[in-house]
Amino acid sequence: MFNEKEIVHRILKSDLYAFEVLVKQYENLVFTILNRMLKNKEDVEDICQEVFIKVHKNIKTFQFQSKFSTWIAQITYHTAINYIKKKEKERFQVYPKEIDHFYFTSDNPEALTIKNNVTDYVNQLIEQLPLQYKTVITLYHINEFSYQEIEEITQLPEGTVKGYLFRARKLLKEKLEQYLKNEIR
Amino acid sequence: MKKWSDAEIQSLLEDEILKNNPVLDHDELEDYKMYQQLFDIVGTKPIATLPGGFAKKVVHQIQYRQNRANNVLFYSLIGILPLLGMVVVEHLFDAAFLVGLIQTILKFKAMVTFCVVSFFIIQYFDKRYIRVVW
Repeated sequence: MFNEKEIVHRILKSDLYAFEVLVKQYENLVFTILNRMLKNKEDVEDICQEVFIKVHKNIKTFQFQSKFSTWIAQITYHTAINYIKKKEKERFQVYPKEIDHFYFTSDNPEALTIKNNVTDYVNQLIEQLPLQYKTVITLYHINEFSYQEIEEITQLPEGTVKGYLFRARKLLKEKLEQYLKNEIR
Repeated sequence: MKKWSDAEIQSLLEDEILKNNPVLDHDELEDYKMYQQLFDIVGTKPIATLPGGFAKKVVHQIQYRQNRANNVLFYSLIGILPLLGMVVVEHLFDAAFLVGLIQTILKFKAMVTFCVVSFFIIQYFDKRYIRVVW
């Protein structure tokens, strides 16, 4: 059984085996967030490694005031944002003005091929969503964080998180509806 | 006209209400089912994962960085210590220098004490209260 407090205590005493156990426990959490947020999938593993090195370096500052998974997700989110700003040279804004006017464009040939599988199709649509939308979708649905925890991780107000999540799901539902109608025909 | 908006239907699913007791009209029920299918898909964990042995790789990287930092410190000391030693040895035999040094420290003892205490206070508050920026 994974005992968070004991593991952290051992890591603070320079036990690297304990840190390896911690990495195994949280590697999927870090991977799912980064895999959704970063466009360049080849760099995901390197950034995952960078996240865990930051966790190791800063673990002495963790005061058990939040869940450990929330703290790791917070480091992961901010590392990804820094990477996007530096490497992907994307004009990153916390509250992009155009986000409320985002709509899916018509399907490209790649999307049409992928339509054979509804799950792959939806995942491909999520990839096209604005960064903030796909981040909140991942944190809420895959990592099962609450609105308050997502607010803590992203530093976006709870109302904004709810708004982004609602609109992302509405857009996806509309596309899914169209897809299933076409499939029935 | 639909009585339930998309936001309300999403809330119903979030709160897992209606699973066994649907009270929605036909159109609303269609929306509800569509959202239910969407929730199932977006909540599915991805098949892709990190390669096996990732945790070991991270630990090796940390060990490598720690060793490198220790080596840099060690070789820096090897370079600096003999130089410092030479300076100290040279001045140890110079009584005037030692007297001057002690007098200077005594003259500014309040300032020296203030600087040392401030340093440790800043270190303490930095570790305890300053928010870490990732």
